[in-house]
Amino acid sequence: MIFNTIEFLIYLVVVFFLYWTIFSKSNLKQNILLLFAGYFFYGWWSWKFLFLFIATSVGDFYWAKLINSTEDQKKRRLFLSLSIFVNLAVLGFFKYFNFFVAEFCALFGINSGNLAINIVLPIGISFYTFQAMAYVIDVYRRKTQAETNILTYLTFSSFFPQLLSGPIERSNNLLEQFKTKRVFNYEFAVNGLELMLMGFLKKVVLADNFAIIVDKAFSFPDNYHGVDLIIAVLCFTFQIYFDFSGYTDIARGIAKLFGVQLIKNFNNPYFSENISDFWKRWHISLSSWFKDYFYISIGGNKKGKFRTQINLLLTFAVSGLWHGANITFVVWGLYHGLLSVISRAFKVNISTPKFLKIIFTFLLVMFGWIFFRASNINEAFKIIMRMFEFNLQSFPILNSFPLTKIVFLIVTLFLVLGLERFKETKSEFINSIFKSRLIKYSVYYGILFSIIILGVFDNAPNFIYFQF
Amino acid sequence: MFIIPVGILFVIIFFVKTERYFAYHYTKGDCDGRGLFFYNKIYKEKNSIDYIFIGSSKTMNGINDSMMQRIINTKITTPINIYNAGYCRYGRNLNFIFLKEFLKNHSIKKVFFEVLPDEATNSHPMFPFIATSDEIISSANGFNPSIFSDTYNHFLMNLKYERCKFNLDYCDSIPVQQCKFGYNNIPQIADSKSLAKFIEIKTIEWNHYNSTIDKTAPDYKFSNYYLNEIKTICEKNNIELNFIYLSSYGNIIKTPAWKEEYEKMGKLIIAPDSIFLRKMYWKDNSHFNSYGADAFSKFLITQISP
Repeated sequence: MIFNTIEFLIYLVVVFFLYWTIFSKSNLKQNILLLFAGYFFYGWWSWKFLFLFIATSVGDFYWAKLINSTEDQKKRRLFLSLSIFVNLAVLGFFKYFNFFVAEFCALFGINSGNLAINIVLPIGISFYTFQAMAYVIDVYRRKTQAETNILTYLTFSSFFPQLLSGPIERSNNLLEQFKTKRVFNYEFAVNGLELMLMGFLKKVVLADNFAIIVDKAFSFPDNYHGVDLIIAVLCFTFQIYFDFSGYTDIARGIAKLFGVQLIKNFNNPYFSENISDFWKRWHISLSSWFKDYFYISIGGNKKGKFRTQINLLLTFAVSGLWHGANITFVVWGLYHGLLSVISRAFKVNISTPKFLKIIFTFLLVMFGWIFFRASNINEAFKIIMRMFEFNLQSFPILNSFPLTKIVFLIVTLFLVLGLERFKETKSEFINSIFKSRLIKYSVYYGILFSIIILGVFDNAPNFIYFQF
Repeated sequence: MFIIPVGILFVIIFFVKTERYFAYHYTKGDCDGRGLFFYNKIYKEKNSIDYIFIGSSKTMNGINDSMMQRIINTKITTPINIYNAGYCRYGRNLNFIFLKEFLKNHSIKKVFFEVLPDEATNSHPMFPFIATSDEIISSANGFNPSIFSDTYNHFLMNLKYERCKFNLDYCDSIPVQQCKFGYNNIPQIADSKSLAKFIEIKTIEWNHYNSTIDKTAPDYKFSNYYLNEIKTICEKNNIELNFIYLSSYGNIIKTPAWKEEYEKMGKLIIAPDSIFLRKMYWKDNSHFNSYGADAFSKFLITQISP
């Protein structure tokens, strides 16, 4: 059940109605409903893996309680290590077993066919595992108290809007909200619907249309070259942003319908002025997770310049691997790590115009996406090589759409990017404009009609980050 | 209030009258593009069908229309035309819609509907594309179990149609292939081990199944409704209504569960066991190969010749 399907719409309406009527009387009732709704949502995909999810969630609840129950630092460390081991073992088995077997066998020239096993990746495992680990580590670091009520904790771990693809929440934000009764707030709910509307526009109109061009080029890179491939890479740059930020907007919007505030996961990443700035704006919940729980744990910038650079590279490589069991993700992570190291090492105070910095950073990020999207390293290099074979006579990749549609898509793209940028830099101005009901409703209807007129509805394409 | 204009737009698009070519063309990726063959037969080759066979892939693979036509026409003075309108998968609603479609440009004399051990209770996946908006709405009267998804799929098709009109989408038109007959000739013979396994599994399952069918169950309201619609349209157009029992390999269930109902509406034709039991007649456990189709069609000739 994904957000852009009829089944989900029906599910959402039913849960929303029950939440604010029969189950609205107390915090306990609200949590019970959300817990069952979360498990139903997850179980819709796979009942088998629901049990795995419940087992790991219950396990994390008790690990945190055990850590909290003792002041003995050795014991606390032992419980934390066991908790991390169990979480990483489950994640590692389902996500990385075959990858490591294949890489190991390749290294020693062994046939990996006999050792590889057929493993289905439980959906959302990377997200919920990281959220649970953050909670246990926070309890260990005494940043938060272990939750004593198992129902509250399980509601936190299974909150359906963010269960499959984040944002990866911290307990001090999300868990705290499940401790008190949520009261219906009209403004909050309307804001949630606005976010959902924007999310659907990003996903169904922009991401899914760009995906048509991207899929063609990356599936048959031999058929395209030069400008065609540059267009395809540019399209993927926008596809992945609109797909994931669209998902996050919908998730945050749905959460608001239930009176819950999720953290912001994106902040105009394509307007970043350098790579460090980009990582403060892209997938914020994951990059801050890696900073807080990995980079700092391995020493951060406290052990000298050289070690800082190594730590940075390691953090980016592991964050790349988090995305999937493929060397392409590691290369993508290392590429960003290298850019971060270079930008730190060669910090010079030349006054470059802001827009040039933004364009330069955008181009660097765009180049990196080739590794992220390509199915293997050879294909990534093939695409890079073919990108520079120029032929300005025809652009077969653009034949995917009629010219009218291309124009509409470009206009929509700039309107969405512009609106988000203005919201960040001139929020008061935007708010004053949106006070006019005429403007507000014109925008709402404009978005809705754009979704109907330009949206991709056939076979409801999945969100890219669901595979992670 | 806010959602009303969007709802109105949805309704307008849903009720758009899509060109028939577009509707059939929309199904081009399904069932080897037979939808377009049917379009050609219905709208381009007018008055070329006297006897029509409507059903699933069992009909498609099991009834050799060209051979039947050739043999029957050697015996009669006024030649007749026979057409196999079998289409992959089940769903009485699509059977009914195809009959209505063919009746638009053909004066059919006899219609033969495939029947199985039990009536299918689902809406055919192609129904929302071939049926008109009105037919989809009226399928609610027939307790269509997929009314919501059918409505949505019909809306999507109409939306694509409108987008094409306003140059917001590509709707490539492919030339309609001429195909005089609808029979799908497959000579491949099924592996006898898999046939034996099929019998082993199905014997217990089907014997139990046949004895537990509750024909008054709500699920059957849907197929009942369309069977009655078929009967009504046949009476109105003076068409002889027939049913053909197309069992699977082994013919474990000798007669369909709905035998009495079919016989009240028209003639029910049941082939002898010998045809269903011969291993070399089957492409797989459910479909005849060309040898089976020839044998079955020859039997049918004895039953349907004018």
